[in-house]
Amino acid sequence: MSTPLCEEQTFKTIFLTHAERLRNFLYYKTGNVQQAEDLVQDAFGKLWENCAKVQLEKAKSFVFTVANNAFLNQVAHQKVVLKFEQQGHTQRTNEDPAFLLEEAEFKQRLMEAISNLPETQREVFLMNRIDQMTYKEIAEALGVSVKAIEKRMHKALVALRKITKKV
Amino acid sequence: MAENEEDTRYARWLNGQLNEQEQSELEADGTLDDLQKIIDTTDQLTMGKYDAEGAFAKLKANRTTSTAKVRPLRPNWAWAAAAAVLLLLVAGIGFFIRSDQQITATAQNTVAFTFQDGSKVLLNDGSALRYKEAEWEEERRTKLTGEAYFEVEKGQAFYVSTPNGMVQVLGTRFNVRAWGKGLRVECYEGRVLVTAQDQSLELRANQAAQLVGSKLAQAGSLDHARPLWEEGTSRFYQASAQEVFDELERQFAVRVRNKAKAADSFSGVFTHGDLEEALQQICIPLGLSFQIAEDQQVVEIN
Repeated sequence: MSTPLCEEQTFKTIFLTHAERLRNFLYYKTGNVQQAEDLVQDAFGKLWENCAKVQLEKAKSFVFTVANNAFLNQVAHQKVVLKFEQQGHTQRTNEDPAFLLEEAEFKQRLMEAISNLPETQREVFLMNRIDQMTYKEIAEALGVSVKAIEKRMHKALVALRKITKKV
Repeated sequence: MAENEEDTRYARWLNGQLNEQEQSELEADGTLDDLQKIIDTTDQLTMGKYDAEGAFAKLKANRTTSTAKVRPLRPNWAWAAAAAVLLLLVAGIGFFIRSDQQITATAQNTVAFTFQDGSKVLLNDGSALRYKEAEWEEERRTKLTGEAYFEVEKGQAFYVSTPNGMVQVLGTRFNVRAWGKGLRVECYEGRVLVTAQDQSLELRANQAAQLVGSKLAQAGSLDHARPLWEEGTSRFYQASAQEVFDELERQFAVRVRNKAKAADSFSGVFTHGDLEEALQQICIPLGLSFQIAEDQQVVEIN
């Protein structure tokens, strides 16, 4: 039986394809970049150890499952506070300051609301928005159905929508 | 609008998969404007850069310099999940999936975990807890193998089922011990209902219940407000030598070869700090002697 995953070039390709999304996924869960990147190392280390047993097309769900399990096994889950980088703000320099302030406040409330989402909803929402993964891709990574992803996404949006009512 | 578990409209809206009627309903009450604002704002966020090449180099370096770290992760589990999902996809059943989460504490390692409602659990060494994350809001059901201490937030009933009996609570702190065929529940605060062998017993604060043979009995009042194992002590009340040695094996990750025919039951404690000390605490009252092998892995009892 051939084991393409054990060949370094193939393994590297798999790593480069999935590592960043896995790291982001773990960041959404932990709120800690260092912890997320360590978990990525561990998960891919595990994949390498088992390269002879894992089929190429299962590699992605393997690393997500292993990393998720490792995360669940880690000590006390802290409350997650997520920080993101802002994409270069649009060139609306002569915008009304009151509007800009309102926009900033809205963003702040949204960040808090995202941080407060249940973990499974938060990760699905952000994998879709930030990593631009389709529901199908997320479902494959997490080993659940597309329908389950849609439900989590819907619930996330129901929760997040509440902040638009608080103005 | 009524909350509906099966509702996926907002998710499908994002994908442009709403039918005309759904689309116009959500448009009419302003929902779509709200959602669009959430999406537009979220989409301005990005993650910090990830140096994938650097990370790969690090992975490679670690791989060649160190032998694999020992971290048992039940490798078959991934396959079981993958297989289950595949099976369901093949069968075309899209709705019920692996929503179980499992928390596992390996030997010599307790694990703390907080559920999404703020309830907490601390798992003793070698224990595991399963729960359905997706259904947590409606039903707080857990399945315990081994021993765990719970702090439950007020809310819906909270269940801990074990192979040996079930505990139902409404918001309290308690410890469930369900190794082998035994069951012992200690309630530190609030009230819990213990059910085993067709018998039920309601416990108030500082009370304990224990399965003695097939009888569920009240087992004295407690002099501690948290489980003793949390501070590194195992306590027994009329336990068989086998139960005590099983616990020793879990706490110290050793094998015990019991060559004595100890019929006496053991009531007392042993501490988790030092193997030899623990063995003395167990063996002296039982009139046994012990020998620890060179490698500290095997203990022989005579």
